[in-house]
Amino acid sequence: MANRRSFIKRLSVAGLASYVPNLLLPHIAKANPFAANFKEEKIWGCLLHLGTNMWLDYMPADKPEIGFDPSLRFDEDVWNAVVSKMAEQGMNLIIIDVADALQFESHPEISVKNAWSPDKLRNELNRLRNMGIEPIPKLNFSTCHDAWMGVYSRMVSTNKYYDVCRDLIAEVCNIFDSPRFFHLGMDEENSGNQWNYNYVVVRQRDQWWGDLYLLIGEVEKCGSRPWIWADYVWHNQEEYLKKMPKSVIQSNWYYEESFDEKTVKKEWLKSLKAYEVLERNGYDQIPTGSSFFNNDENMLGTVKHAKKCIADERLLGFLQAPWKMTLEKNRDDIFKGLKQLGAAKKWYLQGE
Amino acid sequence: MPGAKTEKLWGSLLHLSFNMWEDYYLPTLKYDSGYRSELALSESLWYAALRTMQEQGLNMVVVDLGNAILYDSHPEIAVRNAWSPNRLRQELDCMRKMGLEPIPKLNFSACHDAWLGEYSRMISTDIYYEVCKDLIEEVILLFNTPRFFHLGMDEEVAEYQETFNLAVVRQYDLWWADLYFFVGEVERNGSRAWIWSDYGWHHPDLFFRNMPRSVLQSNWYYGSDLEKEKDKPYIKLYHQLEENGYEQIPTSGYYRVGHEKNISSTVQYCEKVIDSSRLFGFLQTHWMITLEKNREMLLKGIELLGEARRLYLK
Repeated sequence: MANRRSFIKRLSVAGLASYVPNLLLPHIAKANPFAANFKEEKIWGCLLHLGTNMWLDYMPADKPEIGFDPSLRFDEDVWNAVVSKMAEQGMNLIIIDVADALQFESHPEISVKNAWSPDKLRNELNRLRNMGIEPIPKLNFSTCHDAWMGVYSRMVSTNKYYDVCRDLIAEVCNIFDSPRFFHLGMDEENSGNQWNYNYVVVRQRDQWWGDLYLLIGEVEKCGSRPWIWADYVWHNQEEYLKKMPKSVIQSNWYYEESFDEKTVKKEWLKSLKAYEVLERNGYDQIPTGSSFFNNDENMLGTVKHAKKCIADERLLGFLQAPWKMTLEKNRDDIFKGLKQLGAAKKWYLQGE
Repeated sequence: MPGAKTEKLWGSLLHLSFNMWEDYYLPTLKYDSGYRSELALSESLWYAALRTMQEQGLNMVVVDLGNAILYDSHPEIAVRNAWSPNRLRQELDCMRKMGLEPIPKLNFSACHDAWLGEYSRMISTDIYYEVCKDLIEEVILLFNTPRFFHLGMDEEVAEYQETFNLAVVRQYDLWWADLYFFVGEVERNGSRAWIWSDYGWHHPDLFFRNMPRSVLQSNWYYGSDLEKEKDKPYIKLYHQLEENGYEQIPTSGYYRVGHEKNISSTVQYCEKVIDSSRLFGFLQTHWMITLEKNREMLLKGIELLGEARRLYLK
């Protein structure tokens, strides 16, 4: 995508701008075979959950929101209201955390009860596109967030696991009609974040990279561009910058209120600084904020901070991650997240 | 079981396989613990170790089998030049003739199961349980239903797996469920389960609530001054196991110069704190691959246990 972007940019600015009247440029862009999926504007996206089994591999009595539920936890009314609100606010991208909420034809054994059929998902994707919202799939392959893979989450880095990952990526890409991006997750894969799991798995050293490359390869084979959470860079910076391909879109995330390095909590400093680290090293980014930490300032702060420290050509857009299941009880929280993103977008456009 | 001093077990661990740590090989690993895809064994040292055990009056050898056997049930995990089942049977007979009771050990801790090959990456799945069941059954048959079967189960925490490519830890009920499964398989085949007890250092409440008394306990400590460290969890556990009525085989280790006193201190200390009826004996570990470069240390470790035994019998 970066190549496509820069190619079109070069084409339009250097090659054509001096010869073609500005008025004609949109027509030229339309005629360009690359332009069909090309979004010139920044991404203003929100992460929404269709699947929810990304944490514990059991259902705890005290924290059902992170527990494994063998049935779909999803409210269509809330979903419809949220996507309508997104369209209304000019948001143009939705990441759908698919997980085990789809009746995979390749692996129906991992699907939850009442999972969506591929047809139902296809119809919904078309509806979203018609609303001006580009749907992007997400399957989180981090061992910290792969409870949705069922028994295969206990076979990580085996041949069987690789086969299943290949099948699922190909099937999802097909259902999403070769989406521009494919979010692979890959965040928080350490034992600390799995302290309350029954089964802890962490790929380390070359294993993490080997598996990431396999997943990237599968996504690229399908014609999509891989997208990941970038938090592995926080604690493995040198290795990360050496080994992470530039083709992978980076979503660093930082959910605190303060963007001042002098006042930011020590444990989050690396997270905040990662935006600049990734920029200095030429990665395309989609900075991610969240309403999850109950502060109203994070999304706007993220946009302001990113605008200041990331070059426009590498700043593909922004993502709001409310981290709430699509359920009635979370309606207000999700809306709050959208409102924050809407306000941030407004600031960004006015600022421009 | 033995109450009299003369009936105690004096055992030594002996590595046929050493594939119990990293799942790759690097010569620079701290304890030379990398995965070797070929049998790494000096037979000359193996026999020398057995002879020394005999000379020192020991009566038990715990054989860490790992994937050094070409298992009939799962040949796919065996290293190159692994011993055939027949070869193992012959060696076990040889040990028995030397007055050494051979006891099998297969370590099913997720921290020490590199020997399980691909199955070490399928822990707690149906496939894994099938494989474990098959291996336990086959080994018990090969050993002619040994009195004990050492299941390992130590050090299953992430910190000990920092150098591994893939770290796996069972926690909470899953660790216990899998332990019960292994214990069940061992008992079903007529042997008694034996484990390392260090889970009790970190989770004493759970340990004493859930651990069956039928499981023989080997707490371990490799330092020299048990008195000085008696308030530390790893020494306290000797007392706690005794207070809770578990049968024990306290374990020492000699794999670093300077730790010569460990076994004699362990024997003296445990003799005081564990009732003789529950003190089954002692085990010396070496934690070194059975190769010539480790000859001196390995044989010395066995001799140290012999000395401790003689002192104990005096």
